[in-house]
Amino acid sequence: MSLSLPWKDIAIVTAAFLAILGAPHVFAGQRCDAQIATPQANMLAAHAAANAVAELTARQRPIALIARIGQDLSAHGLLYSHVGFVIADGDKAHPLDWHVTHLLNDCGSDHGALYREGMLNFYLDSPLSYQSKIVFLQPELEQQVLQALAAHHGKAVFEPRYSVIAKPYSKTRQNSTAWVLEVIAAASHDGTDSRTEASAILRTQNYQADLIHIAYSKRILGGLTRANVVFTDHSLGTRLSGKYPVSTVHSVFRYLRENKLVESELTLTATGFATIPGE
Amino acid sequence: MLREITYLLIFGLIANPIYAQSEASVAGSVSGISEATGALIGGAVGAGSALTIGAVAVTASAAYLTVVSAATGASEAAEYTLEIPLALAERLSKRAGEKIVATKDVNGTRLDCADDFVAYIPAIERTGSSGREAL
Repeated sequence: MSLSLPWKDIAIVTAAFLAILGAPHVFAGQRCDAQIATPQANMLAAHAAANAVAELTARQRPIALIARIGQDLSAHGLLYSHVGFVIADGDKAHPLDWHVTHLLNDCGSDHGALYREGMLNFYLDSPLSYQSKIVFLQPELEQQVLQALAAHHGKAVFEPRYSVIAKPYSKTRQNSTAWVLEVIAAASHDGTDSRTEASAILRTQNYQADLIHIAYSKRILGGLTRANVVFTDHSLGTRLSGKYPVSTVHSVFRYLRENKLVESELTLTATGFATIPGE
Repeated sequence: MLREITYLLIFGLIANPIYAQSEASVAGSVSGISEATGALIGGAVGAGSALTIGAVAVTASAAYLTVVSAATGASEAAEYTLEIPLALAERLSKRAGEKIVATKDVNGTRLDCADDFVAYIPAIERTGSSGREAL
């Protein structure tokens, strides 16, 4: 009896494996090359930033949430991919000085860090669109969040181990949106300075994460090789179902509205661009 | 079976899904023109200095343009270096000495050389800073 092996198929499979191994995007901890914006992108970012600065200054509020569109999440029914706090720190010499305090994933690695950056840089960070959304909190909460950030920059509820699909309330992972949510929850209750307590507050206020569907095949072939996408943070049941609860910008804004914590909202675009609907 | 596995693998490479909020961070400014350099070029434009294309230097991953400002009654001639996209480098390297036209708008100053949009210098006092610092 002769053994006939499907050499052609084996060759194809081998080539596919080699391609995966050689593809730069699949390695854990992606490179972090500086991205030089084109002059056109620089100009659009400048217009978007100036527009936001003008609107924020006109409203004379010390702090707000600001969301941007960093990537296309339309397949998940989402628009905004990232949110942080925009804070006024102007003085008489620079009355329009605003900055953004937020959690950023370090170059696709499994770690995040807290940053303070200027408004222009916020809009230069490779946006998919120059549209942004600003949400003003109720005055009392606004002051609480401002004081909390002034006291510890949100480090009390910060977890450096990062995952874009971090499970809400996870003690081992956090994404940028969950950090914002936990800062707000902790600030709203004096003396709360841990993620555990912030999570308890969010539970009592019925915070509901969004469910992100990730097919098993995509998880195996894409997720396991990306350092900033950690599936093991979620339960086996979740992984089998493929429906992952994740803190999204949309879920944060919904939570704030349902708990009547929003004072007003504003959607901004760079001059001449139509507003993209959704959140 | 092997064919199915192959297709699945290839699909995985093409799909390369990005799931939720992932915000890659880069250090410092991403504009290619520092606030200090921008302020100096802006000052030269404001003083009426004529700007011209200077040398272009290219490395494996970046390109740098020297902008030359002519002396005026109020200021001396000077050179400023700014990082430019690699795609612009080849064309600008052939235009040394050509005039740069500066056009101001409400949020900054645009620099053009012939058909090339060379740089945009934001008016930081309107746009906010391009800096970033770790907390």
